[in-house]
Amino acid sequence: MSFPISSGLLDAVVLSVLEQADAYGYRITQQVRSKLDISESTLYPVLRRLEKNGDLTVYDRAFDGRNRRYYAITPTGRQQLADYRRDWYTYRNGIEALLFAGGETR
Amino acid sequence: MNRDEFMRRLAQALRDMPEEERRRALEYYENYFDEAGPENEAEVLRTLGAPEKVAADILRDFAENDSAQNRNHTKDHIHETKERATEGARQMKDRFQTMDSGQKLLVLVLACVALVCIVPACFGVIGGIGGILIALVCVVAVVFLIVPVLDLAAWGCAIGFAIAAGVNVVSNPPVALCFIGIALICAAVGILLWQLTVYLFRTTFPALIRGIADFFRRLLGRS
Repeated sequence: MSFPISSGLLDAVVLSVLEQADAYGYRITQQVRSKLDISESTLYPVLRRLEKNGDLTVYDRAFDGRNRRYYAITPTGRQQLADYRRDWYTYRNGIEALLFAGGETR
Repeated sequence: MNRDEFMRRLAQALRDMPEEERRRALEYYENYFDEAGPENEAEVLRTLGAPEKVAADILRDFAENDSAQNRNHTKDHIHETKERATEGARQMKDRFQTMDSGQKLLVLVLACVALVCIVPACFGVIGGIGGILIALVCVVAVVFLIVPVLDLAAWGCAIGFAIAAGVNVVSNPPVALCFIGIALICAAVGILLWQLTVYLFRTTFPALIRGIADFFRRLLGRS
């Protein structure tokens, strides 16, 4: 892939996945990897950082005789995601205007 | 490399992290292997790559996040201190502004009176302390000067009376005896004063100098 994914974009992607439903680390990774080419080790620092910022919380559930750690989006995280989406539109429109029309507004 | 070896090397590579952070990271990857299941273990290990590389990513993100948070804490703290310092001044200003003009005049007059009274009082106190210090220095100097001078005088008297006794020894023996007695008393006083002088200059004087030096060193060291 020509374009490395930035850490802000990864935060936004993880928050979007969790907006649909709470999920555990492996599940989130598989979900993102189905659309984006990221390493399996990419998401742990992202999840930990978002947790520290208060954008998501963790809770544990027993499953199949062991522990499963779920991640859930917080109201702060939802607000953050809304900001990311707004920024994304601006960014995408700017890039597309440059990439496909050289910056000339039609 | 199998799962156990991966976890062992990851734990080793994260050994310098705070215990809580390290535990969380290791739990995440234990969980991850559990969820992937034994049938996917080889595939997960292949795509994860070297545990040292995985650890480096975790450590880098932790360091950036941690320093960013510390910066915010420091900024908050400085801000808070400044705010508290200006708070008192602001409250006083607010109270002054809510007063009517009569009260304002009263406050200003009281402030002027306080200024007029306090400034001379400060000069008086500083002058008083200075005077006491100068007096103390004078007393010490006098003691150190007067003892040797008295000693010299005593020896002078002793020699004088001894000469007078010599002059009168033939013409008036009783007077000569009296003079010899006085000369001996003066000599005794001279010896005593000499001992006092030696004591003063050998023991008291260095102790005094040391005391003053200590005082100033402490004064400068503290400020």
